[in-house]
Amino acid sequence: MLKDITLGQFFPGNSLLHRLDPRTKILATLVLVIVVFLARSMLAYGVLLLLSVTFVLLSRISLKTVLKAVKPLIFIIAFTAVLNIFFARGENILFEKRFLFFHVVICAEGVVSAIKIALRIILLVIDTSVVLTYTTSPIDLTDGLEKLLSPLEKIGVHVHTFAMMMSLALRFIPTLIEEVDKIVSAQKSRGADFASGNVLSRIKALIPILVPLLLSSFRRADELALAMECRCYNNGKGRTRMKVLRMHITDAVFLAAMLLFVGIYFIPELPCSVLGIESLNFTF
Amino acid sequence: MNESAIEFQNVSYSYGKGTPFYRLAVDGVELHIKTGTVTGIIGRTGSGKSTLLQLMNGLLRPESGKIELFGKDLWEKPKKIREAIFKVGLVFQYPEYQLFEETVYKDIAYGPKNMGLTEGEIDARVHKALRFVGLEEGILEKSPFELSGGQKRRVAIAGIVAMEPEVLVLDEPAAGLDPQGRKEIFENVCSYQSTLGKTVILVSHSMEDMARYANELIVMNDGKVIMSSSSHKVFEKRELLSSIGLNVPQIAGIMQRLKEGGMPVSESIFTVNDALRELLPLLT
Repeated sequence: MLKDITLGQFFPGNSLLHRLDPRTKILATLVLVIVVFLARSMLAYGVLLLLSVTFVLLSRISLKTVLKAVKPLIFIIAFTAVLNIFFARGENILFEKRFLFFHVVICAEGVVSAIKIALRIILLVIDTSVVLTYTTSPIDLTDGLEKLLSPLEKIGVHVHTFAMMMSLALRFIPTLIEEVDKIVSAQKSRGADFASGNVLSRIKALIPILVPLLLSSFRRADELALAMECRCYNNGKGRTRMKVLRMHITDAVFLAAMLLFVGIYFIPELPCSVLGIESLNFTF
Repeated sequence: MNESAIEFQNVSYSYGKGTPFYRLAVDGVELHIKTGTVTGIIGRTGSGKSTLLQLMNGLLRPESGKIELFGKDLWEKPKKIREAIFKVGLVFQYPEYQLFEETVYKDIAYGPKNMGLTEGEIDARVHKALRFVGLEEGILEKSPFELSGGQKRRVAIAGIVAMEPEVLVLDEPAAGLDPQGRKEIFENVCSYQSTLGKTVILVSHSMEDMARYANELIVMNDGKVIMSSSSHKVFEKRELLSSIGLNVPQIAGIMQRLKEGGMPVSESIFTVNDALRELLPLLT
């Protein structure tokens, strides 16, 4: 069960997206997130969906894996969609009826906004996972972040410390999952029952897992700190890299394409008039 | 006396089915563990020993094959699998990391409590288990976290012993302890067999300990049982053992060299005490 978590998982590969500089991908993800949030018209969502499909194809990651990232969010998507359908009010009423105490009204606007919000969440998850986490190793990711944030060093922010903490946290996710598995098996062997009883007794049943897990996390942190000190870790001062990040021509092209795309987004009149279309409603 | 406590019939188990991480951990295993014996399981790291142990008490369900516990199918009623857990007490590797209660007493009582015993029975069992692992009564009200490593290990073992399982299974019970601690733990565990007539199953990488404490040995390699016999017979197959990365107890090697050098000694001597008895007459 725990092994199904794809959050932050990396799928090694050699596609165009894999080879891009992590900084490019972080910036691109940022732009994508903003654009997805600004999108209003259905046409805009269509274009963004097409873009996401392009990214999936570029990453050469199977669609099944990509959709796995959406799976944990199905409940949230369904929940917000239901809220929108039943509670958003507009002028075009599709359905109206009184059930006992409930006055049920479904408007076209509600249905449309439900679809939009569902699309927005799906797009966000697919874009961030395909462009960033699925195709970037955690080490590249933190390296890229460190480089991008390094100007902040000048105003006294410890960027290296932050990046190191992040990579350590990522590094220990699988270890902790393994640890939980082990502790659960051990407590089951002592007759622990996690599957029956009411909510309160189920929460109580977690104590025999949480206490050992917390203790072992502290122990690991202690050991890791010692091990780092034994190897003369000094907060990255004067440290060189085995793999130096370098922007390539593909990065420039990719970023330029992204900027162009955003440009089209922000100045809707420009491409419309060029294309001779007046009614492309990209406004927000 | 010699009926089977645990019987495996063509049992297989694998991890990560349908992923690149697929691994057949236990492959068509046939096993007969006799009641009232101390049975040792030896094999290299990753040979499937731990998986085998977890199959014994029903933590893992075999993908194919059948496991019988005292002549009854373990998985006949999957809903009642917890009963198997109380019959086969499994002590994991480094069990001291699973302690979680405020006091030693409560921690040892956790298993019996899960069995649904009465307060009086629990109290009797806690004291009995504590004596069994050779700890003082005064320790009962202490926090398990202020004990020494060896004491913690004993408390953890007592937690399983207090459930009074028919079969006591221990994965590397002496790992990381000093020679005195090792000896005491093994002697305690073996007295569970000798004084109570129960069955004990041990996993250890120390051939010396195995020669000393186990009557029967099961040799695992690559998920398969390649030998299952009395420990003397197993240690006589020196070539076979070394071909799968195991060896015979050091003293057995010495005796063999003495024999090759023309000394009139027996080859089938595997413990230091036996060697002493064999060699002393030669000196006089």
